[in-house]
Amino acid sequence: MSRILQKKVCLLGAFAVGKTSLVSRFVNGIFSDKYLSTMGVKIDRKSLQLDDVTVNMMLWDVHGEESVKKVPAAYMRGSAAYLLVIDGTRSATVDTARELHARMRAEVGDVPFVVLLNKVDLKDEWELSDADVATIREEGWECLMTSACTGENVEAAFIRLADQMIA
Amino acid sequence: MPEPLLNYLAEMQIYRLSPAWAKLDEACHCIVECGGDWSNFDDDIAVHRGAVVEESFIYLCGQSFDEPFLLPQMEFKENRFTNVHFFRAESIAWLLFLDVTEQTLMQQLQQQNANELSLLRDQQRRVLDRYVGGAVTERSIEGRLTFDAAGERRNISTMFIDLRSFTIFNQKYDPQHVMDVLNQYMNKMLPPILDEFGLVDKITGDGAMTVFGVLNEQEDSALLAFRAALRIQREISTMNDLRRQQGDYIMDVGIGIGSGEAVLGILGAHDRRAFTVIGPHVNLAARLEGEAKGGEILADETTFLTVQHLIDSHECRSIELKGIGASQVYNLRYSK
Ligand SMILES: Nc1nc2c(ncn2[C@@H]2O[C@H](COP(=O)(O)OP(=O)(O)O)[C@@H](O)[C@H]2O)c(=O)[nH]1
Ligand SMILES: [Mg+2]
Repeated sequence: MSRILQKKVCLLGAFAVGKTSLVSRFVNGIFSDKYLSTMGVKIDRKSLQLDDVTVNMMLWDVHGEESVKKVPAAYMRGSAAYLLVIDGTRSATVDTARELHARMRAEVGDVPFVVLLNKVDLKDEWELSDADVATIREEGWECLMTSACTGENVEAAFIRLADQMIA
Repeated sequence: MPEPLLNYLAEMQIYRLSPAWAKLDEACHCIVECGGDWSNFDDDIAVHRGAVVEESFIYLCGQSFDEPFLLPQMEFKENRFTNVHFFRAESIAWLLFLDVTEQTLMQQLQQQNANELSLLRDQQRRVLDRYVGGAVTERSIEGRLTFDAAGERRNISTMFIDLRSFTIFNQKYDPQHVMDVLNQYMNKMLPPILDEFGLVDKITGDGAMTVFGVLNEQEDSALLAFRAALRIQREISTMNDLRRQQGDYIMDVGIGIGSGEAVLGILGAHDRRAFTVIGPHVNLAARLEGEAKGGEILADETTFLTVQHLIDSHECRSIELKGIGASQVYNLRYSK
């Protein structure tokens, strides 16, 4: 029997890691290198068909977490899953992801999440070393190297998340 | 306040927020009653009497209605921002949508500036990180940082810039406005620095420390710094003329430049690393900036000797600088 599910999915991370670009690549298939800082939450929708299950994703593209401007807990509540986005060229964004992860755990509990190490097209300029990535993986974080620019692993990331939500 | 005025104000405010509302049933499952222009908030929103909440507001899926909530600045359609309120008043559950587009777009401008600046500094640090790379060794001994004696030594120029009378200004106006104006000034000061390959080392609320001669070694660092300083003073002066005409508050910039040999280093733990320069002229430059009046460019002797052919005139004075001693200070005069 086919099922239709509505799920809220949050994208979380420091500012300018590529959250908005990943959504834009996934939903509209486009990328722009112009940076426009997100205010509040940008809402988008996309459906994924996984065998006989349709997952309607409500994508909450949240503004970047900053020390002076934290992501409000109200945005987090009700999430069925989330993507933690890290910018490989800025290793400080790993700390931000850790912080957000801890807060998500406190707000919504043990829901599925996938960690995106974004801007893999700029791998030459990465500040994050292979050892850093290994450390992150050792924490049990499922990581995917993505690029909103080339589209690498973008759809795969959302599919992976959807898979976990219906499991 | 007299009631008619209060009503007038309230109506004006309410009008600006163009509210749309829905009264929900006890279980928050259905819409009992609703009003306002819902199409303002979302094109394919279907809010009407008897509609199921979950279907009318699909993006609220997963949302719990047990507690009141406020979802600020929701962007359902491009460049349109909504505050979504849910609360109970006298045991009736209400959903209220308010249009906050205007305020949000104004904040966005500032946010954008702040983020871009932060990215820029990050990028500069990375460039330098790679550039100096192994040449500079940093050692932390019991929390004290020392540099390897073989660390990278360079002839560089350090420039301190500072907005005068910012403090008074800061106390007189609301923070939002201060940020706005500060951004305007910063936007005039940063491009000249970057164009001369200056590295922005520190940004304090109302000033900055910048270093020249690290990214560009082709030209004398003092020339680079002076050109940046000159352009900053000229651009600020032009902007101030305009602000004065408009009756706006103005600020002047004091600049101090010192040149000489310094050790370049990277300080801090790996994710908070920032580059830094250490050398006698750095302190001197900071002191010069402190001495500079609004509109002035004060330089040390090394800098002066390099740039003297570029200036109209100068004034040399000897001042006693605490901890440094008597120093020759050059006030570099320039045409506006
Ligand atoms: N090269 C490259 N740039 C990216 C990638 N993702 C985002 N960007 C750029 O990084 C900047 C910030 O992206 P944005 O999506 O607005 O980040 P957000 O603040 O996390 O939403 C923009 O200039 C994007 O063009 C990527 O995968 N590769
Ligand atoms: Mg964004």
